[in-house]
Amino acid sequence: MSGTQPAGQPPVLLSARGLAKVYDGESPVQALRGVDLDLRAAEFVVLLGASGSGKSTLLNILGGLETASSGQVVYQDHDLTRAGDRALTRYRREHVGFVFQFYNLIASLTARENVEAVTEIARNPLTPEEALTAVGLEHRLDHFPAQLSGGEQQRVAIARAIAKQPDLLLCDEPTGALDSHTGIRVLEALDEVNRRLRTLTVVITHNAVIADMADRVLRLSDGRIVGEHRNATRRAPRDLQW
Amino acid sequence: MSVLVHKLARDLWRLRGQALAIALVVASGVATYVIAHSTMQSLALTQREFYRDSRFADVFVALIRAPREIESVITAIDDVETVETRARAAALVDVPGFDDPVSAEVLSLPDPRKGLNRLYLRAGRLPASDREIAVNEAFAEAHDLHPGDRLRITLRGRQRQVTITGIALSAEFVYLVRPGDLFPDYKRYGVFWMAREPLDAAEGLDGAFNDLLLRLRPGADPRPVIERLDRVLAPYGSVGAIAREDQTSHRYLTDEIRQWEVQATILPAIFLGVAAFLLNVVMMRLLKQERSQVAVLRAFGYNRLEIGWHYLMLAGSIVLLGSALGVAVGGWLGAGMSRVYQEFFRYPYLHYVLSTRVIASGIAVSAGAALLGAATAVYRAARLPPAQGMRPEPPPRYRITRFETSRLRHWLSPATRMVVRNLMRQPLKSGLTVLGIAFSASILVVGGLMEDAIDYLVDVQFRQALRADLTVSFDDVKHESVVHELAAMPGVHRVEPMRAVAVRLQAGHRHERSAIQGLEPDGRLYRLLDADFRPVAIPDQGLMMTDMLAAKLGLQVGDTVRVEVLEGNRPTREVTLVGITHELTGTSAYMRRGALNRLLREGDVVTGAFLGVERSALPRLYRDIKSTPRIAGVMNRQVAIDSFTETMAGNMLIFGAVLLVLASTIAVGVVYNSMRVAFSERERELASLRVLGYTRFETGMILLGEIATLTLIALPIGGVIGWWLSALMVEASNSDLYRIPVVIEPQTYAYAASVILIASTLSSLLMIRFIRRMDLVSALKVPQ
Ligand SMILES: Nc1ncnc2c1ncn2[C@@H]1O[C@H](COP(=O)(O)OP(=O)(O)OP(=O)(O)O)[C@@H](O)[C@H]1O
Ligand SMILES: [Mg+2]
Repeated sequence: MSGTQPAGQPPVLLSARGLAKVYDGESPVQALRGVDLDLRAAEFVVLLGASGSGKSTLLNILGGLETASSGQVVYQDHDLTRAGDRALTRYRREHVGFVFQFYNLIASLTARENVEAVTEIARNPLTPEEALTAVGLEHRLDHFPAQLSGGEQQRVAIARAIAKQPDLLLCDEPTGALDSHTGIRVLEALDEVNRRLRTLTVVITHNAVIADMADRVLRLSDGRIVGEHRNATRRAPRDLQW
Repeated sequence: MSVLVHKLARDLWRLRGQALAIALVVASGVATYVIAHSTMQSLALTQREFYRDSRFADVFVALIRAPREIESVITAIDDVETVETRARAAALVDVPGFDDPVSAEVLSLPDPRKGLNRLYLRAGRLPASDREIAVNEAFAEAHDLHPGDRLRITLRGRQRQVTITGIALSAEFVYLVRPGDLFPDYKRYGVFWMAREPLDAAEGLDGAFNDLLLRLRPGADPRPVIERLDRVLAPYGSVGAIAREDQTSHRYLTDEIRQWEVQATILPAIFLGVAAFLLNVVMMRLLKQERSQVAVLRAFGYNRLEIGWHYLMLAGSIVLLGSALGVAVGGWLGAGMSRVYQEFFRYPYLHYVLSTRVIASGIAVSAGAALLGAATAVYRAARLPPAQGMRPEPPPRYRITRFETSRLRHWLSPATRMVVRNLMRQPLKSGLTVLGIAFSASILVVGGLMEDAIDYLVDVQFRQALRADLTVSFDDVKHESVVHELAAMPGVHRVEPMRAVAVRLQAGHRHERSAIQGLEPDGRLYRLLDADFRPVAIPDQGLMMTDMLAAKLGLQVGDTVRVEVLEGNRPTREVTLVGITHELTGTSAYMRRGALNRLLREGDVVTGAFLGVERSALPRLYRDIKSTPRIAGVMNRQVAIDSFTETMAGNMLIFGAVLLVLASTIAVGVVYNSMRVAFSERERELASLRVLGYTRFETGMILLGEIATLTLIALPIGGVIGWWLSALMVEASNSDLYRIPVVIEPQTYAYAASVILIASTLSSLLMIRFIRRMDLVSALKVPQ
């Protein structure tokens, strides 16, 4: 950890040291090769990098979906590196919200119920209505995923992810399957949540334009962080163009 | 094409668990088909061969005594090819070391040159002198008798010591049962053969005969011959000639073959139907998951035929594997069944035939059924335009059900709520799963039918209807006063006399041979039963008969029946049908004994009696009865039950057990597959839940809760379908010899339920393993 804490900076929530991941198999793949990273509360971080550079792998490890082969991940004072399934499940349940490129909504549940699937097991959740209102879907509560557009579905997924009031929100190409107009609406929802709930938000994207709305931009290449820069000001999503 | 071959091999390997389960289901279906068909064919073929080899007669007549000169008159009847006269006698037998009364029918040997019903000698030689006999094989086996052994027999009151010279089989007694008995009893009833002259001498039949066999020209109708014959032989005490189709052994045998025909049709249809259904569901769901792959292959330029063929091969390989397994197992079990039959039906040889036709048709039928199941799925997949296939499938339309607005939901845990929702919002899918499981439960019920039905039959026949410990029949008509003699015997606490008479009943143009039993009005040892098998009283006047007999004669209560008595001076009378009784075997008619005596214009006479005997006195009583020459036959109820369960029931029970094993295999296969499919369909959803923070346990509960609910719903439905299928089978297999009741014991339902539950539990454990191993990341990586 970065020992000293600059004044005015929020506390470090999640930190990784020397993170490496090897996928075993006939020909082992080294997806991460020593990643050091500190993520602070309320930060909005964008992760860029070529395909296969290890972005998803990193995000999944940070979110407790996978474990690293070596190195360390610490969430507040919990060491995730050696956590078992039970502990990781609890970590996800209490602290993490995920948004994926393919929304992964449960088809047989309405928007409200998809969110309820989370609020029912969370400790201090928003109501499903609040969560859906936060993403601008208060008028679509009782629609099934099949009755919603792609952007709306992704916003339901965001509502589902934020409803538990997570400490970190991890998004893997949340706009990857959407057109720019819809994508912007989704990003607005993310931006709004980040500002209002002060949720640490990490967004993977191939779209460099999106980097402009972040506090900090990390660039990954071949399993390593090869670049980092801070934006002086975050641009509002509606001002983005692609 | 080789890429598709690789894909086929990989798909098969990936689906190996499911493929194996389906193959087992198909195998079970094919096995039932092969067992039933091969057994039926074996029995029928052997019957034909044995009849041909032994020159089995076409017409049979028993009479009192006719001069041999009449033979030429009979030979002159149209269509008669061969006439064989015989001597027939009833004997009491003393087997050393066996205390029970034993009786035997003694027949003269057939003419060595052109005789009918020729014997098949299993051991030794044919008898020649008046001190020699041949005995039927079943009897010899029951008492471990061999050529050279001696017996004591009583013919016409005269005892003599005889030596067994040979062990023989006859086409006339492939199925051997004492007249009047329901079931075989090889220990207490045998058929012996003696040379003609000594038997004539013993029976006082010099220059005469009392039994006649005819062989007709091929294809001749026996009815006109029988009519002529009855007229010719009436003066000689004939009770009427019978055609081969009414001959006891032939009737049982033919009936048994017919039963197998039914088994061979209905059971495989049920079993294979379930297999086809299953395959359809699995292929449907599999191809749904393959949807985008099919589309991509199509986009690459594979045509529909190639793709359709590819998936049909997938189903085909599974079916072929199952069929091969089924033929092997079925052939093995069928051969085993045949050996069991060899014990029951006394054929000299039993050719077990597993014909290529049976194999081919078994495979064809199962492959047809299974591929039919797969075809719709394959067709739908191949037909899809590629562009559409690559887009995600239009999701099923879900509806919000009443459940969501009801208060009930607030009482349920989140996981439970999820389960209920899933079930209610996908009624079709839930319905199919329920149906699959219900069908497998129903097969288990059908499998248990045999045993339950037999238990019930024994209960009705031997505990509700016949309650006498011993049933004795006299060698002739006796005055009612013999009752006192019987009552005086040690251990006898109740005697109910009866008068039985052989008759031909006629109503309009229909007629049936039967016997009228004259029973005591307040009888307790032989009771007539109503449709619910409760005892009913016999009215003062008029005739009662079993519903089967009434149906055959087309009679209803109140109708008049012509009774042609086949004894004495053979009077013909008219009586009114006053009631219908219900029994599971036989076609009997009943009257009050007094009324029957009056009808026959005879005195107070009886031909037998039902005895209630103290258990401890039974052995002693046996010995006493054995030394009572006027008693021609004794039936011991317990012995009859035992021999029934050993022989006749034995076969059915063995087949029942085989069925149960096959049904269980199917059940396990269906349940496993349903679960496996449910899991793969829900994998992504379950992974999503895990990502959201649901524990493995909670996720498992959602999947298993769903399956458990469906299983619980399926069980009662399976019970109902099982009952229904049983009724269908019973309906098709009822004969006029006996009627299998549709009775299913609670234990059978319980067994069916527990097999399903155990299968579900084991499959659930497997699913839990899948959930534990589920790769969250890769499950979510691909588009929906
Ligand atoms: N389950 C796996 N087994 C083997 N290798 C894997 C697995 N998952 C990812 N990899 C490999 O790890 C490397 C990093 O993958 P990752 O998914 O993190 O890339 P990414 O940066 O997210 O790429 P993209 O932008 O295409 O999503 C890749 O080379 C990939 O092939
Ligand atoms: Mg990725």
